[in-house]
Formats: sequence, C-alpha cells, structure tokens
Amino acid sequence: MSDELVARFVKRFGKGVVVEADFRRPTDCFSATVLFGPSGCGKTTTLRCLAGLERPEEGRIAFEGTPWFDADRRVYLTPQQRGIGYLFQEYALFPHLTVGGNIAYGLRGVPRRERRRLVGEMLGLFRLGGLEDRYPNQVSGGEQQRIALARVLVRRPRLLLLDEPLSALDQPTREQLRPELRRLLVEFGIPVVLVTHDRTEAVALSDHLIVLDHGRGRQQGAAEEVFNRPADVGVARIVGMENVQPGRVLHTDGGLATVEIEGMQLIALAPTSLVEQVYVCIRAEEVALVKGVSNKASPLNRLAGVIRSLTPEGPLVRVGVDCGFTLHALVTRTASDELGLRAGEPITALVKAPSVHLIARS
Amino acid sequence: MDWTALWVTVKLAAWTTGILLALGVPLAYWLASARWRGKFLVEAVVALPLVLPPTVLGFYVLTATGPNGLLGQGFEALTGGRLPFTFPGVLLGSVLFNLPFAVRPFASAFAAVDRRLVEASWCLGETRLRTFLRVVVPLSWPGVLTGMVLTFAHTVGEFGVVLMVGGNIPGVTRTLSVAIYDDVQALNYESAGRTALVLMAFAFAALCVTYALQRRVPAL
Repeated sequence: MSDELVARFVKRFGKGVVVEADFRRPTDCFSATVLFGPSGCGKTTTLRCLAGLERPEEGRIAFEGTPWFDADRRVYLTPQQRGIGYLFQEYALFPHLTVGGNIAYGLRGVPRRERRRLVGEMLGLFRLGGLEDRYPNQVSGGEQQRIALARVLVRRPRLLLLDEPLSALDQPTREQLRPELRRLLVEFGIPVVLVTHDRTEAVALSDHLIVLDHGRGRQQGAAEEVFNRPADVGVARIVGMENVQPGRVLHTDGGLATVEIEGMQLIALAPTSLVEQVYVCIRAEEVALVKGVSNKASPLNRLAGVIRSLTPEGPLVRVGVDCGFTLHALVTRTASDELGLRAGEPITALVKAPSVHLIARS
Repeated sequence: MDWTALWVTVKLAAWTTGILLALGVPLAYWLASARWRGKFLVEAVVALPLVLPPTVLGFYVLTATGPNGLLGQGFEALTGGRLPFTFPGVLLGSVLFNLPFAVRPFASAFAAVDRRLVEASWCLGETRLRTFLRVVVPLSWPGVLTGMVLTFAHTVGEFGVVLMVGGNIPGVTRTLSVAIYDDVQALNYESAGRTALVLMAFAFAALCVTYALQRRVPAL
C-alpha cells in the first residue's frame, strides 16, 4: 500500500496562475509516468515540486510512506534529502568539469576506488568510453544527454524525474535515442516521472499518461487509451486529435451508435452513457482511403468525398477530404503515390466503427 | 616618495579587500539568488557610496564613531580604544565606502552562473555551501577577482573618507592620496608629481587587469 508516490498539491504563482497535481503511482516496480501537455500547462512545475525545487502552498507529497512535503504538518524535504535524480531539459552539465568529473559529481563520500569503478561502469553502459577526459562542450548533444543520465543514475536515485529528456536533440538523434532511453530506464528499474510535449515520446516512453492543461490534470490512463479516447474536447485538442466534429446521435442498436454529421451518417461504438449531442473524434491515421466512389456494403464507415488538400509531413501525407465536413486522413507517401492522390479527385474514406470515438457535448 | 604613506596605503587597501571578500561574497550571493521582494532596498544601500560624496559618508562615520556615537561607545567598551583618527576607524570608513566596488562585481558574476547548474548540484545531493564551492566559485572567480582588484585600487585612490575620519597622521592614517594633497598645500609640486604618477600607473594597471579578466570565459 505504501509503495507508491502520492502527489496531491497546489502550487500558486502570482497573477492567479495555479498548478494542481493529484495522482498516485506505484514505486515497487518500474513504471514510467508521463506528464503530457502544451507548454505552460504546469508539467515542469509539477516535476520541480516533486524534486523539492519548488515548494507548493497546499497539499502533500509522500514517497513510499515518507512525507516529502506536507503543508499542514510543515514538512518540507530539500532536494538533497529526497534522494531523487533530476534530468534537466538542457542537461545542466557542469562546464568546468570533465565527463568523468560530471558523472562522479554526486559520489562524494564514496571511496575513491569504488567511485572510479562506478564511473567506469556508467561510461560502458552509456557508450561513453574514451570520453571521460573531454569537457561537455566537446561532445555531441546525444552524448551530453547520456552523460547527464549517467550522472543521475550512478547514484541510484529512488525516483527519477526527467524534464523533456529528448527535446534538446535534433530529430534523427531523437529517433535513435528514444527506444534506447526506454531500454535503459527499464534496466535500472527506477520509477520514472517524465515531462514531455511530444506525442511520439509520450507513447514510446510511458506506462501511464497524465494530460495536463492550465495547471490541472485532465485525464490519465494508458497512453493509447488517452490518445485514442480523450475524455473531453480539451483533451482531444491537447493530444492532437485531428478530426473533431460536432454530431448528433440518431439511434443506438446492439452497442453501436449511428451518428449524423453534416448530413453524413457514421457508425460508432456506443459509450456507456450516451447523450444526443456529441463530438465525433477520429484519428487521422485511422482513416483509410480508396480510389473513386465505392458503394459496397460492409461494417465499415464509407464516406464519399473529394480531395481538398495534400500536405506532406515527413514520410506521411496529410489528406483533407471534403465529405460534407473536412475529414483529415494520414497515409504514407507510398500509399499516396500508388493511389495517385490529387486534389479535386473523388475518393472514399474508410473508418472502422471502433475508431470513431464519441465525446458528450454540453 | 613618502614610503610610510605607501605602507599605510597598501595596508589599508589589503585589509579593506580582505574584509570585503569575507563580507561581500555572502552578501553578493544572497543578492544574486534571493527572490525576496524588498531586495532592491539592500541593493540601493550597497550602491549608495557610488553617488554619495565621500565627505558625507566620512561625516556620518565620524559622528557614529565619535565618543558620543553608538559605534564609538561600543568600540571603546570592547577594546578601550577609539575609532576616529586611528587606522581601524579609517578601515571602517573604507570598507563602507568600497562596498559597491566589491559586492556589485561579485553579484553579477554569481548571477551569471546558470541557476540550473546550482539546482542540478542540489539534486545530486550536495549541500548549498558545497554547491557554492564546487560549482559557483569555479564558474565565477574572474568576477570575484575583478571585484577584489577594483576594491584594492579604489582604496588606494581614496581621499575624502580617509581625510574626514582619519585626518593626516603620518604612519597611521596618512595615505598616498592624502600625502599628495599635503605636498600641494606645501607647494612641494615635485614630490606630489612623483606620487601622482605612481598612483596613475597603478590605477591603469589595475583597470587593465580588470578588463582582461572580464574577457575570460570561465574555464570552458
């Protein structure tokens, strides 16, 4: 029961800015909790409160039964006393110390020999061999990130706090380091709280996702669940749901709901509590496109329309289809070429019923 | 050249610099890191000697340290000695007068150290004091040295406060700048010229050191 991190606090800034946290996460096994949201939503503040770098005004933070902060009992542990590891966004490596000196920084009091062994072990584990005598400005961004992580993990913290661990890197390095980061974190088995505004990062690194907006937790759960089934329009916007359209439920039958949007009818899985006025959410990557106008009957939603726009996005192409309302689809470049997609041409969009998510509209 | 005056000058400058290093570093670090709203008041007090005529400061130090002043009475009760027209009295005035020349460069050097480095050190388990010694000092020492050089040079060139508080007692409170004044009063232009040249050369050298230090990027 007490093997958990309990965070329930309020941090106030001037001008009425408030950051509230309310979550509990197990700490007896590895688990990565991601705080996700747009910049300025309070995710870094939440992390800094957990670290003891900011002091909340109200509430309580406890780790495995030990209070770290308790406003009522006037308990406040400093970062030094909490035994946490904090990875700063730009890594905050000490510029006057070598790579080896940076990693050994937090090992004061450890006998010299042991210290050297630990640093050597880290250099190996983080593929930093041969760099120990260099200075941080003489190594690459990816290496800086691994040095910062090694410097934190060599002390075996009880809780690891990562602030945008990959955002300071260029795109290719980020892609390369993302799976490696997850692997390393799992290997150390230390519970992680991670802050990010990047969707891919959130999905790739998280076991549990908390969506924050305006300093408040809006929804939490598994990343896939939160991203595909946002609880309200606000969350849908934050997680980048591409298609959000107001609609009206016409009738439900055997767990399926028929919804009308701009004269078009769609079949969706009916949520347990259903109201008439809804928002219909469809992820762009869940929309498939077939050439021409198809009228074949099937359990799929078929929406005939006309291509309005084609926007390349890296290896993908975003297609805007006018089918009474604008439906965004995301297809690979190859698929786009094979289908010969061109603006102005007729097309049919296919969406499976389970991919149509309904949110109550008040 | 008045060698006794030179000795008094160097002694005063060295003591002033030493005391301001001990007092100024904690004060400057507090100024650089505190988030207290009333901080500007302390900053203004520290900077006051920059705009205050030395005679004004000297006047207040003289009255405060006199036999009727609180400071003077306290000092007499503690040591049996008196402050006005003695070396400790001049030193007190000198320390107050040089406060901005030490504290301001210290504070701007400390403020230039990335706050996240300090926080990173805390999160790695180091105390505030050890963080200061292991992170802040290695990254800000050129600024601290600049403050010390400026303080030393400025004390060497001090005139008003010394004359107000210390008078002109050879071997005790008579510094080089006071000696120049004295020489000119006695129409001894040759001696005054020699001393003036020495002070000029020293001041120039000190400023050269200061500007050279400011260029130095902390050990990267």
